[in-house]
Amino acid sequence: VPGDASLLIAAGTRVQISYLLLEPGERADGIPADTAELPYVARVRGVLVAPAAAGGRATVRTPSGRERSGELELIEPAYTHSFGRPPTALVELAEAVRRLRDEL
Amino acid sequence: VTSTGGYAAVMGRRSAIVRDATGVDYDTFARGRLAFDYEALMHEGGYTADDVRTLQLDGGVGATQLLEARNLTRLARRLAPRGKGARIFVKDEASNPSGSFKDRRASVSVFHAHANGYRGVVAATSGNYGAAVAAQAAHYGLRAIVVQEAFDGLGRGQPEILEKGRKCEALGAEVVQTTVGPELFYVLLKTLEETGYYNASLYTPFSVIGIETLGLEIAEQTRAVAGRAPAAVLVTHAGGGNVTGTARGLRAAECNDTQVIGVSVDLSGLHMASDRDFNRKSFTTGHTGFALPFTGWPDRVDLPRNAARPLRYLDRLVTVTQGEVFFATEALAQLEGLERGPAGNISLAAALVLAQEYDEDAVVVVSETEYTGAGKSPIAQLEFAAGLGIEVINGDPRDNEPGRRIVLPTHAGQLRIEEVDLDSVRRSYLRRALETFDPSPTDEEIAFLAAETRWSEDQVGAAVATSIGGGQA
Repeated sequence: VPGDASLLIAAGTRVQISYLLLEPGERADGIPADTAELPYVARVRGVLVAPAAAGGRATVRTPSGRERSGELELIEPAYTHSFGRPPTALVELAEAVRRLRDEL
Repeated sequence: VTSTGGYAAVMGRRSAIVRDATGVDYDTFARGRLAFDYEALMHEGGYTADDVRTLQLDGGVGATQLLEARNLTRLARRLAPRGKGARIFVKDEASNPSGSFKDRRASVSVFHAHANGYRGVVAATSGNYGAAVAAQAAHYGLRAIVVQEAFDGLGRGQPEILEKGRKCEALGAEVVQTTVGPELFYVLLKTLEETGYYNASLYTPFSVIGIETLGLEIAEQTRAVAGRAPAAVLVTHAGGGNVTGTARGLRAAECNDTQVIGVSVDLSGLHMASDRDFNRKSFTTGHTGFALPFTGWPDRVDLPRNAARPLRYLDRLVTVTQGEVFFATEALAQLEGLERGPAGNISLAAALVLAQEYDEDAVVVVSETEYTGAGKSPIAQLEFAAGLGIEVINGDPRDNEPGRRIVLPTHAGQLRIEEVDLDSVRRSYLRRALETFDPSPTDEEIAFLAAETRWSEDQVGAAVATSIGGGQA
């Protein structure tokens, strides 16, 4: 609901915003077609300087202390990269290395 | 996008922006159009080797251990002819503050920025260098912004790059993450212009002299432990700074017979500016996508002249496959007890092969390790690759096909190296130099090109004559 303050994310919340740097037609010459047809986009994380709605326009203060504006993309974004699940072929490689350990 | 902030407008101001943001006037080093005084550039700022070592130690940088990899030496000797199989040592650069040798590069740059009154530093890098700049900025009380090519058009990023972004933020930096494209340079220029911060480029003389201590330490430590200079130092090679700085340090330590061997992961077939290929590399640096273009033409950077000039220092350049590097990573962890990140393991894979060329009393040194962890481990990279439909199998590494199939060897005898023909790279460099600057070089320029390529002036002259004569070999 536009204007409903209860739907706004509070100032001070750590969020991720995204913003357009270049439209597809503005991009550098000579780049591959699969890249040239895409917009050039940036993402940055910081804390909201004023309440903002998810998906709406927002301004953050970044860790360097400057303000950047863009679309509020993620609220309290997580680091989700991990160690992961070992693929079978890597398990086989690790087994082979452990056999070497016993032989050397 | 305003007219003054548009792509063409910002790129048009690049020279002035870069000059203001580095404080280096590259024009003063020019000698005519083609040549420049490389050693004078390297002495910009007047930092001596002792100055560099002192400021690095003050920041906790350098003085890392040189570790002997005895079990990997045994492994190489099992495959080598009788009497062959050099001792393999590894320089444990992971113990630097941000976890890689890149702290050496960042240390002098950020010191210089601080000494010259800049309030912050900016670096454009997807690699460990960003974390190093963030760490050194924290040390000197400066602000840091890292601009990172991180995502494809669908918002997906290699786990290794995401980890490096996290690390930068952990060290207090702002991280601007972009989608794929060479316009990263445009973002860097805009950021420098908006903030007035220092351009902590990888390619300033400060960045490269910071690495010379690595070569010096390798020389000193190898002599102390083995009573001799290294027969070979294996340097993971991408943009050329590591090769250049390490080799300069070795030369300063009078390791005149030490071979400097660059090692890169073969990523042939993948386009570095392709949105589709971006996430299919399974490596973020140390690969041929950087190494070959930067060796053949170092001045393709964010500065007028690159202080990293690998063709001046490389004795050999070899490649290994993706799967072979994962083998080396597992071997280092499980046979030596050293769980380390990918970059140094590119050289380590080659060391298992190259050690077999040298006598048993010789020493080969792998010049770096890097920190590892979530996102950087082989598990993370291979699971991500498999998720993109890349086949991950066991077998002969010759069947490895970047972006399509990663083949993990299961015994060390399957590892090989491929030699890059450096003469071909030299010819490519000369063609580019002539195209860019001058089709009929003077004697002075021929002498410069000889120093650039490590060819004799006669060889350069002959190659130039062929090139001018239309022999576009």
